[in-house]
Amino acid sequence: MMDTTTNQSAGLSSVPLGKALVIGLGGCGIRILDLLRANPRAGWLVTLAVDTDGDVLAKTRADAVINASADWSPRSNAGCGGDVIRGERAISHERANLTAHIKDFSLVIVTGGLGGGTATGGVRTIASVARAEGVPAIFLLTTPFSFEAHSRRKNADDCLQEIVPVADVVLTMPNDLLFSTLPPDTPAEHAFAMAAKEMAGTVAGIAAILRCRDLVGTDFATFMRALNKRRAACGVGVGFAENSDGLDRCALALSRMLDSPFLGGKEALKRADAAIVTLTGGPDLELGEMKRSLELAADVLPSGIELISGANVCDEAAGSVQMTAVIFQYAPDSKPEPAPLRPGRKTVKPVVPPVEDALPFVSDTRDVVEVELGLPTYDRGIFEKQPSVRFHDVDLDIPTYQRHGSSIDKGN
Amino acid sequence: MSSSGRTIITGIEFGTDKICVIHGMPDQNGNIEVLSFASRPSKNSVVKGVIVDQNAALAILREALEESEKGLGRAFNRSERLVYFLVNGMHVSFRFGEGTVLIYAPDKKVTRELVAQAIDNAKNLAVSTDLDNIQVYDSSFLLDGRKRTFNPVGQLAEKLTAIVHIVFAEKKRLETVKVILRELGFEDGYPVFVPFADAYSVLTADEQSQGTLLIDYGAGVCAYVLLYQEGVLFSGVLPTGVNNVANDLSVALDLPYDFCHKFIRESKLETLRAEGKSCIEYMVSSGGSDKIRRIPLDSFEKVMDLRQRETFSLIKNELERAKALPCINSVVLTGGGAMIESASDILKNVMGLPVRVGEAMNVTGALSSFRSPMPCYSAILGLVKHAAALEADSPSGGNGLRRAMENAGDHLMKSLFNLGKALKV
Repeated sequence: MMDTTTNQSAGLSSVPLGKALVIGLGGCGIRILDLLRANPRAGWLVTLAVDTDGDVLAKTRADAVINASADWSPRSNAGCGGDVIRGERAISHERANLTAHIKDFSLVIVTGGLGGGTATGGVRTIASVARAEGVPAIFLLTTPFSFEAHSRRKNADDCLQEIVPVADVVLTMPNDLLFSTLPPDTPAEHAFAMAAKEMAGTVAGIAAILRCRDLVGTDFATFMRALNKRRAACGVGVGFAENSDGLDRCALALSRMLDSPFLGGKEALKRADAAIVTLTGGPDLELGEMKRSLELAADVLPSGIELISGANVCDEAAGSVQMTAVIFQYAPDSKPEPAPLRPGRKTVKPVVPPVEDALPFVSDTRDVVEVELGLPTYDRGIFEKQPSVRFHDVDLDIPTYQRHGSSIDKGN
Repeated sequence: MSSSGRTIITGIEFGTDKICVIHGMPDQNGNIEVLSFASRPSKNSVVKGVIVDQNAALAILREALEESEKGLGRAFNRSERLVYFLVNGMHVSFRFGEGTVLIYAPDKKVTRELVAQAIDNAKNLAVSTDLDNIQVYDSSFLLDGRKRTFNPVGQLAEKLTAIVHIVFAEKKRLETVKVILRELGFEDGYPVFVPFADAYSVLTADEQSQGTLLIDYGAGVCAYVLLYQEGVLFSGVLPTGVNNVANDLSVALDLPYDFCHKFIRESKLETLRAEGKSCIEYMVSSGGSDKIRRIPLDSFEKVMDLRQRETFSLIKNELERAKALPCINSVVLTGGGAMIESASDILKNVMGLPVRVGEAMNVTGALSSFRSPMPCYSAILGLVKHAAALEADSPSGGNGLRRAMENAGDHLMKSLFNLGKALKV
């Protein structure tokens, strides 16, 4: 399951046909973008590739490209080498360019892989531009594998902590989940290709959900209402079937949707609190077909949940149907997690002695010990010599970014 | 008294950024005519709304007062003047008081006298002797302990319970101000909590009745009040203001505090963005040579965003804890911090409600003496309106008001019965 968070933003509305922009940020984002470009059902989406690596951009099939070249920052046109600050600096330098691309769209979907430099550093700038232009933005971001370096996972976690308050919707997809449905003997190259394809399908599916108010409408406002400004675990499933696949193409699309790895399996469906299900078909979509497939979808979901159904028709989907579902399981406490007030204080697992060395009949009930790693150093600036005025035991004169542990690019 | 028979009101603000004096009076339409205004930088004599250097504050106020009085064009005997001053800072707190009266009259009708008695009982809270009750506002009334109403007069009940919002301030802080005022020749001064003064100047009648959160985002502190059905539901102060935003920038980006303060005050972020720039160039001298530092504008935005978002989230959390969030229909942001262009957008994002920047309405006269944008002066202008509203209700002008103020019960009654009327000005 993915984590989702929403913020309410005034003026969010449904997305008119053909006015959605998908931004692929960084190498991973551009890979997804290229697969999306190859998907005929996503032909209505406009794509924009943004990267610091000129070689990657040279090969992309995206409609537009922004080569994040910062003449005032050290740059070799070969990426930012996983350096978040350099990525942030390079993307922020392209702010005017991003604004020019984003401002005419009614929805922006940003996709990329967190943990590296460009996407991790750049998402905040894109969120800021989208907010400034009043364009609703959805972030579909992958998080690193559990076996990847700690620094990459920390980069991703830090980025999420910063992006969640400023973005409209953030959907994070753990890379580990992508491979959970594949057998271990799957060739690695094939597995990664599958993962990118699945991600591209998810982007197309999310875009389809928000696409238009055609037959039975679902739009961005519906999406926001379903999330109800709460933090939720989220699953996305996309199923596609063509006329040539069999007689009951809608049932087939539903079955494929339920098998989507990002949906999290049937157990996740049982725990859902809310769901958005949409059917996208071509002009040949029949009323009975639409009714039956949405009813079938409703049957697999637990009764009593908030279910929002929608149906769209578009020419590109002629001869096929696509069923997309987003399910939400609200977190019991859906408030944003409080920032660590004392980042220097860590909790670590104790070193457990071998069983033969342990004293018999003596049980130590402690399962964790707290180790003081020294007082964190804060700079109170002009308030240094003034007595601390605490609010709920927090010294608000300490800069917020220090208490939150955010990294700030001081320039060069 | 002026020649026209209207009383000239003197208002004083000891702000973290500025100490200012205003002379004004109400006109026939209830608007405020500013007769003179003077402002001086506080020069660190006031920190987070509290005077920390009495002598410096006295000297600055004396200068401002003399300039303002000069602007009036005539001499006054200060000891005969009504003077109001704004109170702000973490020493200001509020409590809810609850007072009950039983109705023995055969018709069981709630009368004004019974309301006054219930309020009188409600204000008798056992609080520390260090605290002074500076203002009392009605919040709501309960009939027979069940039915909530905001105007109980004329309704039938066996029992009437008044719930009042009482604002307290530390006696020593108030006494510091009063000592300064006496030093300057005033007999006494009357304190008004900043957001209540703001409410008189920036809120429309609809906003007062429909549930409005009013936030005064000042230089040192952020004070707020929630008005609902012309009563006060909640108020509070956060020890963080625009100076914290500037300080955060200064620490985060290794820049001088004054530069950061100016950067915020002059909305440089938005100006540079409009010019298509992505970084700011800052000259540093090191080892005899000058070097240009290029600092991304996104870094400024990130630091400012984090601080403002935290400030507004803390207010939201306080209101959520008090279960007051459902009563809010809109938010009005005023004070110097309202001039930060991103502030209202962040506030809208945090609260999920419409937000507008509030500035004083229905004010005429010597407005050219206000050198900063008008939201910076919402409180001092509201202070004059607040005083004028009380004055208008007083049967014998200033002296009557003073008598009323001296009599705690009368003052309370005047506040309570006239708040709604006054807020509609």
